[in-house]
Amino acid sequence: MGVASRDRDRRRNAALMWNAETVLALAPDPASAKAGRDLGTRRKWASLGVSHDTGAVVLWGACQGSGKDPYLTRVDPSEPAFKCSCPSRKFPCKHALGLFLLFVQTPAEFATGTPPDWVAEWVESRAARATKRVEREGRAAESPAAEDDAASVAKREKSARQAAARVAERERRVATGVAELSLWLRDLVRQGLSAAASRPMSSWETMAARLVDAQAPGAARLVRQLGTIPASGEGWPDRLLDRMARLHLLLEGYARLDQLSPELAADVRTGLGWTASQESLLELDGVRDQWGVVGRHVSEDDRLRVQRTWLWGRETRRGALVLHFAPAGVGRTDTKPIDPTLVPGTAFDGTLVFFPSAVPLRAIVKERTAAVAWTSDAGYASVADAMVATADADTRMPWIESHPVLLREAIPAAMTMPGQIRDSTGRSLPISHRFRDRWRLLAVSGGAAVPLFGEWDGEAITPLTVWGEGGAVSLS
Amino acid sequence: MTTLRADLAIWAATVNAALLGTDRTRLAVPSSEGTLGSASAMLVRDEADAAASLLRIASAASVYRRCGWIPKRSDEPPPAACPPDTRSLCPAAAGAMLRRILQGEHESLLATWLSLAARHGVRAPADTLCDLLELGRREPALRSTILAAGGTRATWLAAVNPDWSYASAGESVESLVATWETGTGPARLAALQQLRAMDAERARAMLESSWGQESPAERGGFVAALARGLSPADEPFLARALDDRRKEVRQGAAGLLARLPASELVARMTARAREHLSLGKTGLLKRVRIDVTLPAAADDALVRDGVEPKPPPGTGIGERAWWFGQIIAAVPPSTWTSAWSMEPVTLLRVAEGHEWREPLVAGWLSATERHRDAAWAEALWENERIARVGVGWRAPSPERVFTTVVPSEQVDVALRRSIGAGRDTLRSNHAVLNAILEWPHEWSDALARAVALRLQEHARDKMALAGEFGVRALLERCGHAVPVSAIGAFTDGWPEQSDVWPTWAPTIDALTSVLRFRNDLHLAFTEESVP
Repeated sequence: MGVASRDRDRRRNAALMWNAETVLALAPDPASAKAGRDLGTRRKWASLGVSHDTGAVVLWGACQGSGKDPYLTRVDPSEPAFKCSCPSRKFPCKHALGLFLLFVQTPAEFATGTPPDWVAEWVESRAARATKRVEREGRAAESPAAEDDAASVAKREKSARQAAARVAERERRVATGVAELSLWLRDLVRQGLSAAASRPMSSWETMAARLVDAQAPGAARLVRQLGTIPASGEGWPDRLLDRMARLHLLLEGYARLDQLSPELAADVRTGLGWTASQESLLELDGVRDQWGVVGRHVSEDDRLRVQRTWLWGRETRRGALVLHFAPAGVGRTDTKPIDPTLVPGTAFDGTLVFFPSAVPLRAIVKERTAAVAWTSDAGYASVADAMVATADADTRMPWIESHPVLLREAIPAAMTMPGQIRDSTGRSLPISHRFRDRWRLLAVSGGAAVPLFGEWDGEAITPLTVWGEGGAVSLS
Repeated sequence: MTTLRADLAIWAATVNAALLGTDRTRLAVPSSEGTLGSASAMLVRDEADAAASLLRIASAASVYRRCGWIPKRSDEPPPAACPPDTRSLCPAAAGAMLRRILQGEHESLLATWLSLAARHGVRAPADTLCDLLELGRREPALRSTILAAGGTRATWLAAVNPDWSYASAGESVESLVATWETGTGPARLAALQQLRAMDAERARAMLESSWGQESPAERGGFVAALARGLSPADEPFLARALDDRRKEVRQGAAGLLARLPASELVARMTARAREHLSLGKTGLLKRVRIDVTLPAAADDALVRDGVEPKPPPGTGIGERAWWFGQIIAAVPPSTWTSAWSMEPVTLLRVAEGHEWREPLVAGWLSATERHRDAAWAEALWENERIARVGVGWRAPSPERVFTTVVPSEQVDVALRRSIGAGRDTLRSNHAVLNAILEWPHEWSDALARAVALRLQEHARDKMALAGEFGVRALLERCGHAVPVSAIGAFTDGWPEQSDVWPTWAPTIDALTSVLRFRNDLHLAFTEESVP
C-alpha cells in the first residue's frame, strides 16, 4: 500500500472516528474535559481556520485567555496531534480540546484558507519528522531500490549482517532462558507446590527478571502471574499446577518449533514474548466484516497501561482483540481509554488483520469504511454453545488466557457475591471474584435476559459490557 | 461416565503429587483407561525425569479438563425480574448529561436534572441508578426525587442491596406502612416522611399507633417529620407530646403547635401576651404608646408550652426579655393589628426606639414566619431598619420572613423594583442582596435581566470583584436562579476590555459554564438532537 493511499484511509478513518464524545475522551482528566467543553464555543475564539490542501486536515484558532496575547492552538485530527502556545502542562490542553470539539460540532465556523505561518511551520516540522522516520524505516528494510554505489552496498550488507546477528543473539538468549525456566519449574515440582507457595514473592520476581534479561518478556509475565496464585484463595493448587503445566507446554513447544504448524509455532513465539510487526501485518489481506465493539477494559500492569478492546464480527461470528499500550503516566486515571475511538456499543464496516495463530484472536484495525449500527442478535444463543466454542479453541491452541464470550440472552443472577450469568436453559457461568460492578450489571439487566459480553478465563467470566434499553453499558 | 470419573481422578492425583513434590512421592496414574489415561501412562514411561513427566501429564490433563468442563445447570427459577415501568426512558442526550453530572461536572445541577425528569415524566437510565441511590443515601433531601426518577428499577435494586434500604419502600402507601412496621432506623423515618407528604392523616395515625414503643432517641425526628402537612387534626397528638420525657420531643411539639392558630397552646400564649402587652396613649398629642410588662417568672406551665428558660449565653439578653420575646413569637401577629385596629407599619413605627423593641420585633418576626402573615411580612421588609434584631434573639431576618411568607410573584416584583431603584442594592450587605440570596425560587425573566444590568453596570464602573463577597455569592446563585429565557443576558454584554475585568473573568466564566449547561439540559429534555 502506497503512502498516499494510506493517508487517504487515515483521513477517512479520522472523519469516522471523531465526535464530541471521542474528542472529550482524549482529555487527560475530567477538569480538562469540562474546560475544553467551555472553550468549545465560537465566542471564545478570535479566529478559526481549517486547511485541507497540505495533504492532511489541519485546524487552528486563536483563543483569548487571561493573558495579553491570545493562545495559538493547532490540531491535526488524523493522528490526532496537538500544539498550543499556552503554558499548560496538560496534554492535550483545554484550548486544543475546545478547538477540536468546536470543529466536530460546527465545522462551518472554520474558514477554509491558507494556514498562517505559525500553523504552516508546525505542519512542516511534523512532516519533516515523519519523512525522517520513513527514511529510517526504509533503510532498515534494506530497500533494493536505493542507490547502488559500492560504499552503500557495503554499508547495507554490514547492517544486514548486524540485524541477522541481533536476531541470532536473541534466539540464543531466549533458548538459555527457556532452559533455565524449565529447570526451575521442574525444581518447584520436585520440592512440592506447598513449599513453592511459601516462597516470598521476590523469588518469583527474580525468575521473571531473569527472563526479561533473556528477552522473553512473555514468559516473564507468566511467571509473575504464577507468583500471585498461592494467595488467590480456595483451589489455588489446581490453578497453580494448571498454569505451570501450560507454561511447561510452552517451553516444550519451543524445543520442537520445527515440528509445529506455522500458526502454532507463531503462538509459541508470541507466548514467549516475540511480537509481530504491525506495519508488516497491515500489508496482509484482512477479514472484512461488520465489527461491533463489544468490550473495552483498561488496566495498569508493570508501568504499562494496556487497553483491551474486544470486537465481534457479525458475519464471521468471531471475536477479535485489539490491544493498545501506553506508559503508565502520572495524573491519568488508569481506566481512561488509550484509544478512545473504539467505543463499546458502536460498530463499523471494516477490515481487521489477525496476528498469525492457530486460533487467531489478536488483531489490528486495518480500515474502517463506515460506521454501522450494532444490533443485539450477534453472539451465542446459550452458555452451552459458548462453552463448545471455547473448548474447540482450547483444543487447537492451549494457551488462550481469555476467551471472548458474547451471549445474546444472559440473565445476571448476582444478588449475592459473586453470582452467575445464567441462560434460559438454567445453565450458568460463575462470575469472577474480581468483578466489582455487579450492582450496575443488575441495574441495567433488571433481572431480565440481556445481551452480555465477558472474558472467560476457563473458570469464571468477567463481564465487560451489558446492553440495556439505552444501549451498551461498560462495566468495570 | 466411568471414563470421565477416571479422568478427573488423574487430575486430582497429579495435583496431590505436585503439592507434596516428586522428591517425596511418586505420581501413580490411577487409570490407564480412556484417552487421557493411556496418554498419561505413555508420558510417564517416556520420561526418566519424574517432575517433567508430572508437568507433561498435568498439561495434557489441563487442556482435557478445560475442554470437558460442563456449565452447571440449576433447576431453581432465576431471581424475580423487575416489574416494568410505565414511564418512558429520558432522551439519550438527557441521560448523557446526567452521567456528566454524576462524574462531577456541575454537580449542583443534579436537583435540576431530577426535577426536569419529573416534569417531563421520564425515567433516569438504568446504568446511573447505582450512583443515584448512593447519593440518596448520603443526602436525604434528594431521596424523593431520586426515587421518582429511578422508578420501579430503583426500588427493585434497593430491595437486594441493604445499603439502599431507604429506597426499598417504593411509593405505594401499603409498602410505606410495611416499611414502617418491619424496617429499621433511617428507612422508617424516610417512610414516615414520604407517607406524610402523600397522606398526612394516615402518617400521623401510623406514628401514633406505635408511639409507645418508639425509642426516645428517634421520637424527636418523628415529631419533626409532622411539620410537613401540619393541620389542626394533629393537635391532640402534639399536645400529649408536650409531656414527653425527652426535651427535643417537647420542644418540637410546642414549635408545631405554635404554628396552629386555633391550638390551645396559641390561645394560652395569646392570653399571656395580652397580660404583658397593651396599648396606651401618651402626652398632650395622645400619641400611641406600647406598654410592656415583662413576665416575672418562667413557671412550669410556660416552659411546658415551649419557652426556653435560659437566654443564649454571651448575648447580654436578659431572662425576662427573652421569655417575653418567645411568648410574642407564638401569637399570630394579626392578633395585634385587629385588636388595636392598626396597620402593621404603624405598630412597627411605634415600636421604633422602644425600650423593648428587640424582644418585641424578634417575636413578631418569628410569629409572622410561623403564621405566614403576608401583610406583616411586607411591613417588616419595608421597615427592615426597625425590624432588624441581634442574632442572639434567634429570629429570622426580615428578608427571610419576606421571601418565605409573601407569594413568590410579589417577591419577584418587589425585588425587581428595589434593584431598579437603588444603585448599590446588589453590593455586599445590602438588604436587597440578602433577600435575593435568601429567596430559593427561580427568578422571573424580568428580575434576571434587572440583576444582569445592575451587575454589568458595576463591572463597567470599574468595581473590582475582589472582596465583593456578596456579589460573588449572587453570581453563584445566578447559575441556578436565572430562567433559561434570560441566559443570554448573563453570557453576553460584559465589559471584557475593562481594567477590572480580570477580577471578574473567572467568576463570569464559571457562571457562563453553568448557564450553558442548564440551557443544554432544558433542550436535552425537549428535543432528541443536542450535540
